[in-house]
Amino acid sequence: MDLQYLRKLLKVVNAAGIDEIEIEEEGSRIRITRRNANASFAPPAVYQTPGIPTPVVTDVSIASEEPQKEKRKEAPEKSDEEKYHVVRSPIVGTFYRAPDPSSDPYVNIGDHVTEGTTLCIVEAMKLMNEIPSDVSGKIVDILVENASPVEYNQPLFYIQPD
Amino acid sequence: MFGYPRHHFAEVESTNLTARELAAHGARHGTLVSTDYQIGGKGRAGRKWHAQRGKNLLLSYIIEAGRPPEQCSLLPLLVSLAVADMIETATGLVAQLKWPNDIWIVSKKIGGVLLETMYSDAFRIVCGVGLNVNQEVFEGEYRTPPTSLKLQTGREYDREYLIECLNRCLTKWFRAWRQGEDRSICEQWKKRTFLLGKFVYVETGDTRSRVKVVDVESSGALVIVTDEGERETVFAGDITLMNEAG
Repeated sequence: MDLQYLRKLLKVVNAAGIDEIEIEEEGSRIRITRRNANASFAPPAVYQTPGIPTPVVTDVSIASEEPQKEKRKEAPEKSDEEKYHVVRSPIVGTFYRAPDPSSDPYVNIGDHVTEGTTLCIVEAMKLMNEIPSDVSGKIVDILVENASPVEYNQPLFYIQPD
Repeated sequence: MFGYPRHHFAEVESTNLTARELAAHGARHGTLVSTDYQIGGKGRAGRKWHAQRGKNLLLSYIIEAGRPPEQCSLLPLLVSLAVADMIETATGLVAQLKWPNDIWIVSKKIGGVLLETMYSDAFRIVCGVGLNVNQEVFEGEYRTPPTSLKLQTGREYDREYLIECLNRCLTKWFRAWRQGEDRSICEQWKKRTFLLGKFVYVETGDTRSRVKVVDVESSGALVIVTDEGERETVFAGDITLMNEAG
């Protein structure tokens, strides 16, 4: 299953108002569930595990093809978007954690950042947009895998403000 | 006016890096950084840009956009259009454009641009331009074969004259963009691209899809139709021509 297929699937599921769907094909199984079936604005969550039974899914980014490994380390709860400051993508593009593949990431989970600290790059049309932090605080979670596509307003980071 | 003041260096890590440092210290809109040699010149995703010493245009401009960051996505196309105009004005060669920012001549790549936003005391953009001018030998392997102005015409070109010409072309197109003429800039870009109507591969992350290019939006985004007949908009990723794909 590629990302385009998943995106199309999400569109269909959203349009149809389906709360939960599970598909198995060619050894891969995908389950899509809405975080809150009663909330029309809630985006569906996606989880894909080739060849093994799919666990219950609660909160995974739409844009990433793979499970969000870093995110799961700290196992954020449902109310993370309320609990933490959320840094979102201002544009549609590709998310990069470092200025180039040979460099260290701008930030890691646990880092302390100040207002203006560059958190990542979102690239669109070969314009590398640095995304600065708009608060001082600690990086609690990084919600997107490096080099993944991101949508407008998609959450990128959770920050615990000072 | 683009190109003033100008800071020239015999050698720098990359002109974008130097321009960023100057911008962080308050260098004004239009400031030009040029060099004879880049130690660590880079293109998109950190790809190296190989250029022999003293042979090519290696430069960066500092841009104060005067428009919010989310409206700046057309700028890479604008800059590549300005470079293509400069080539035609200065050499008579017809340069073509490949989305979003490559400059080609006769199916070979001759240049590219790389833009980076930065926030210090204000929002600025650093715009790097690389153009093969008098280089005749290109070492290494390239997905798209490189060329230079000299390889195309057999003539040696005065880099200073080309820079003056590029300054004027950029100033003209940027003024139009400041006045909101995004649509007409995009139309001019479309006249120079060879992609419209072509089947290409779009690579985003780990995925690669065969699509047909049908349009370019005034935001600079590419409009494509998938093999399943769906019309979609592409904001980021690499375009590979069918005959380029390995």
